[in-house]
Amino acid sequence: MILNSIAVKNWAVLVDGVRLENFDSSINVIHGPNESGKSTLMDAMIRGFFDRHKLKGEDIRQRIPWGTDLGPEVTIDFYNNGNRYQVDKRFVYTSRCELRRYMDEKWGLIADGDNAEERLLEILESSRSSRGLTKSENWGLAQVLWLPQGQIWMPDGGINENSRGKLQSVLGEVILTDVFHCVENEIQGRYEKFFTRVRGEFKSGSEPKELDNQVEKAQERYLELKERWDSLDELNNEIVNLEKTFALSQKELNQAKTELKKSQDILSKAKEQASKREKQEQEYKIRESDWKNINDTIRELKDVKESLIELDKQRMNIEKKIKDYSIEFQKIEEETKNINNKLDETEKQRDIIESEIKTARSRIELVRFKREKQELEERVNQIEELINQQKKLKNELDSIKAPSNKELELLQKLYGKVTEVQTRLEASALHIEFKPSFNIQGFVLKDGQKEPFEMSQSDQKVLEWRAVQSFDMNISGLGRLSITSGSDEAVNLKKVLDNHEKNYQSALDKFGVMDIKELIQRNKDAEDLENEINQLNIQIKALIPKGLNALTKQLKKTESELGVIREEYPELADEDLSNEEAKNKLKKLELNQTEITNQIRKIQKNLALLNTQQRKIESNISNTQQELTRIQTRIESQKERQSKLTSDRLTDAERQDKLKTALDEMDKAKQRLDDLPPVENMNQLENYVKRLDNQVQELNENLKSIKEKLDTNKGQLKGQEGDGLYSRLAEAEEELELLRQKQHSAKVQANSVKLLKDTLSECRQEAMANLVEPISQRVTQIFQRIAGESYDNVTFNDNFAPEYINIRNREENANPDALSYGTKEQLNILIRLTLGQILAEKEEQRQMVVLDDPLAHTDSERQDSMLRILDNYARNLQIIILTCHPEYYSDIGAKSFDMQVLKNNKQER
Amino acid sequence: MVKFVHTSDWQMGMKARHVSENADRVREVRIRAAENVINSARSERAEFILIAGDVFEDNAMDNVLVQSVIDLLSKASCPVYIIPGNHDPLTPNSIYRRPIWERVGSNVHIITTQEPIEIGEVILYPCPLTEKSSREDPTAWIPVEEPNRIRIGVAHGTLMLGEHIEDDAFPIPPDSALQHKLDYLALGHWHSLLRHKTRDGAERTAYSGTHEQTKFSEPQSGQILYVEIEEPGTEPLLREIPTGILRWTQWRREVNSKKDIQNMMQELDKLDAPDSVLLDVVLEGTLDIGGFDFINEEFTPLLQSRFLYHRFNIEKLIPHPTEEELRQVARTGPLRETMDRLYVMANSEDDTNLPKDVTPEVAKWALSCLYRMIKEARG
Repeated sequence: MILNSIAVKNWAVLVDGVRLENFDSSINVIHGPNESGKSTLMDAMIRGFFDRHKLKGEDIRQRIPWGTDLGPEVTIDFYNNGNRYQVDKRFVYTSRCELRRYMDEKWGLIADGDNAEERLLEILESSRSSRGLTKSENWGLAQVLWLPQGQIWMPDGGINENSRGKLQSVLGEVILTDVFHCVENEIQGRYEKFFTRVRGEFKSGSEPKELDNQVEKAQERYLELKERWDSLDELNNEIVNLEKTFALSQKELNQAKTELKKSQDILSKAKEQASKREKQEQEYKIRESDWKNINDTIRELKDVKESLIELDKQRMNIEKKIKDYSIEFQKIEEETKNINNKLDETEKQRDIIESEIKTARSRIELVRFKREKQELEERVNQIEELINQQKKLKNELDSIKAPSNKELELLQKLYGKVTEVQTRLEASALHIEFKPSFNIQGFVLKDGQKEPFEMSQSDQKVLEWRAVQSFDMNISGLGRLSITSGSDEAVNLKKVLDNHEKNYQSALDKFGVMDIKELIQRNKDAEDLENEINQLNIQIKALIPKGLNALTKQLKKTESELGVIREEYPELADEDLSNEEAKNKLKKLELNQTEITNQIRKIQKNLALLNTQQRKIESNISNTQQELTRIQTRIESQKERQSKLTSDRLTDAERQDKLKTALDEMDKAKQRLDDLPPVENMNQLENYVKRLDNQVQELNENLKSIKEKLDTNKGQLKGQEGDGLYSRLAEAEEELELLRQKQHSAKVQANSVKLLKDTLSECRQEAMANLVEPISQRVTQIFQRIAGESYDNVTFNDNFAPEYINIRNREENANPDALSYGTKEQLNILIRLTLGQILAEKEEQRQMVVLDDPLAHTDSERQDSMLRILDNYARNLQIIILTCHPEYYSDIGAKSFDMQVLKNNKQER
Repeated sequence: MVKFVHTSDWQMGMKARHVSENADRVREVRIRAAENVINSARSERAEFILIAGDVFEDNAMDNVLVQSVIDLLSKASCPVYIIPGNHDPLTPNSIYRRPIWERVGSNVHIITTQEPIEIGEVILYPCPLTEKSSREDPTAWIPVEEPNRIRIGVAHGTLMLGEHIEDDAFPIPPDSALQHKLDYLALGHWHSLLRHKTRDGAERTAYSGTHEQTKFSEPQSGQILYVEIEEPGTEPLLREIPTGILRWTQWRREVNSKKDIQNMMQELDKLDAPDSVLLDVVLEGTLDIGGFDFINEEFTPLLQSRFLYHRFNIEKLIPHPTEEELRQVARTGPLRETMDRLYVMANSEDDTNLPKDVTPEVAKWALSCLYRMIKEARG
């Protein structure tokens, strides 16, 4: 559908009416300032198309111009599906509706009143509210193509089914048909009977939930009864087992009692026999003891005799041994004496040789001291000579009076200063040269100092003077020449020079010379002398490193040593042996000494050997004597024992008879003992009887305990007889089973509804996603041009409203409601334009898109883009823009309607 | 000659978990069926009745039930010999030890010991059980003597036939009757009737089975054995007499269309006394969604309303929508997709790959529901 013209009258602010004609098939801009009636015009168009003319309520009365009773009127001329229609509506007063179609170049009424409105609804594929103003959801396609001021996305409550169906059929096929909705509602209704809306759990009071509760209770009841029944069964089994145990224990007790009696008899007999045997054993032991005593005495007596004989033999052997040792000892003692004598003699020879050796060694010393004394005396003489030379040189050095190096250095510095100042003075002082041409004489006064001169013509020389300040020349016979200098520097230098010369002269005076050169020579001479003295010093020190006194002391010491030797060995004093001879003599004596020493050692060794032998024999003698003492003691002891053994005063034969008698008695007692066999395992038997006794007691107690338990259990069992526990258990189990069957059945039904709901919802979502995909693609593509490439994908719900926006490089999708107001505005317009274009393409006719105040929040940059997009869409759409900013659209060639002008024109007419 | 009735496993007061809704009825019927036993014995002029164990389901039964049984037994026209079985063994809490039995008629004999009993020309060898389980042969005690009188054994246990026999359920050798030179061995424990030929080719050993069927898997039950023995060593003559009241019916049917189900319903219409019928229906095959809907809407209510009990299993019934059904849903779109997915789930082998709480059964329900909803929505 597209609009051709609209005329409004008596409608709110448009009280005088306004008519907008010849709308362009592309873009139309209706503009004017606020309150100029733009939105009123749109309101009139909506009411004219979709509201009943008979509407009387407050909603429509609000459109009556203030202070009038004029019924609002609207006439709309439009094209649809190749036909041109005109609808003319008047509201409130003289309400009227007429629908005309333009045919054969004239308007023909095709319906009026309610019929006209019904036809109009069919043409517009819209519906109507039962009461009041028709809501936007009933506007047919206008609800998605017309964008009233301030509306975001689609109308509140979603677009209506007809429009959705229309859009769906245009986009592909009808997905959400009436049948679908009917089924969906039916499923939802059933679902809500069973499940909660939010968590999808069984609803309280729903059959499955109720049955769950009932099953739980029945289960508890059943389990309680089952437990009781099981425990009854258990009690029964326990009684059976106790009875069996009781019978077994009873049997066991009887057996144990019989065994105890039997064992007690055996034990009693065994004890009697054991007592008899014990007595017989005692008798046998006495007999055996008697025999043993006699036998022991005989045997001991025999042993004593033999022992005494043996001991006597030993005693004699030992005594012989002692005698032999004594002889041997005497021999060794004698030999030792001889050797000792020989040792004394040899030692005397050794002492003589040692004395001679001492003399020989003193001789060698004497020779050495003599030579040493001579050497020392020679060195003393040499040194004394060197010292004398040194003294002479020192005297010569003292006589030179030479300056030291330091003094000379000072003098040279003073001389340098004088020379320097003299040079400077000469440069600045008066310099007078005079060459006479005849013989002259006279005097000059140089700075007041008189100096005579005389010169003949033949001298061929020039007279020269230097003065500092004044120069007077008196030439005899000729006159006086006076020259005076004006320079103060020369005077000053002269003073300095005088001062330096004075110091220099004073220094020279100390040495009694006039020239420094002489002092330099003296200094050099003194240095040479000092070198020479030093050289002599080195030679002296080399001869006497420790000084002359030390050398003198050494000489005295050597002389003293010599004196001592000469005093001790006066015989050597006159000898005149060489060192070599003295040494040979000593060597010979030393050889003799060695020989004698070896002899002494040998003798001492023999002596030591003999001493060892002697000590050994002494020890042997001592040991053998001790042994002899011991044997004698033993002999005494044996004799004492023998005396005791024979105290019975029996003879050996008598004693043998007594032994025989005792043996017979013992054999008889043994025979009587053997006739009574020992009782074996008496302890085991006693323990066995004790164990049996305990066992009988335990079994008795056990039986008593079983009996008590049995009585208790039987009592319990008796109490439960006849109360029909099993019948109740059976009933409980049956009830539980019945409830479970019902529960299963209810859950199958409930789950089937849930399955239906889930599957249908899943399929619906998938189908819708497929359906809105082309819209999503187109809107995204254009939206990216406006808002940027980062907006990846705009996804729509089945209400054709954007559901979420995928933003590149972000994990979560953005909510379209969270976009800025301006961006939301742009996206909102794009959705309308896209839907309009798709409809136009599919229906093959232009569609009207109305945008009330569309770019109010869009910045200028995006505005340009939006205008280009509008221009582009205008190829398939009639776009009607209501705005107070016509300048925005001035460049896109839109047809302009100025509300203010139109209103004024109408008023004028 | 001797003639007597052999019965066992009355299982009075048994639990009927599998038919829980009608458990009381099932229990009550067992007493009425026992009356049939007593009456049959009277009408057949039996000389005595042998009950081979398990008169009661458990020893912990209430005295009201015991009194009912006492009253019933006391009405018998002949002596009744009862041995305790493994369900009511002669344990300390044995139901037979209760004082209430002092009021039972003198014709009723509760046998508590393994001792021969002389009944006229017959010697009865009873084998009462004193515990719930045992690996001992209860007939082992019976003395082997040359028969100069008719020798009858009565025991409760498992005849060792086949391989998979529980060996702690009182095993009895198949030729026990021959081994102990018995003319007849009356057995209890198995609920289905069994006549066993011993090596001499005679039917000397038999299970009478329970007098009233206890579950679906006991086809040969609900009867007693009437036994005649001419003289010692002759072959016993056995005759089955029905005593059961309830009919436990099992149907395994293949259905592939709504028509098949309708035919089945016609068969059901022909069943007599449906209020005594317990029905176990298992359906197999491939059925369109409309067929499933028909089952839910008409077949199941029929089962629920008409019969004492029913069990209905469609696990192996595969849903397969027809082209028309699919067209009705939609060629494409979410409804069609939903149906396709439910179809796949309904045909799953197991729950492994299905969402939580979803089984093929749930998916079948969902599929059927969806189909109905769509059909209703389309008007």
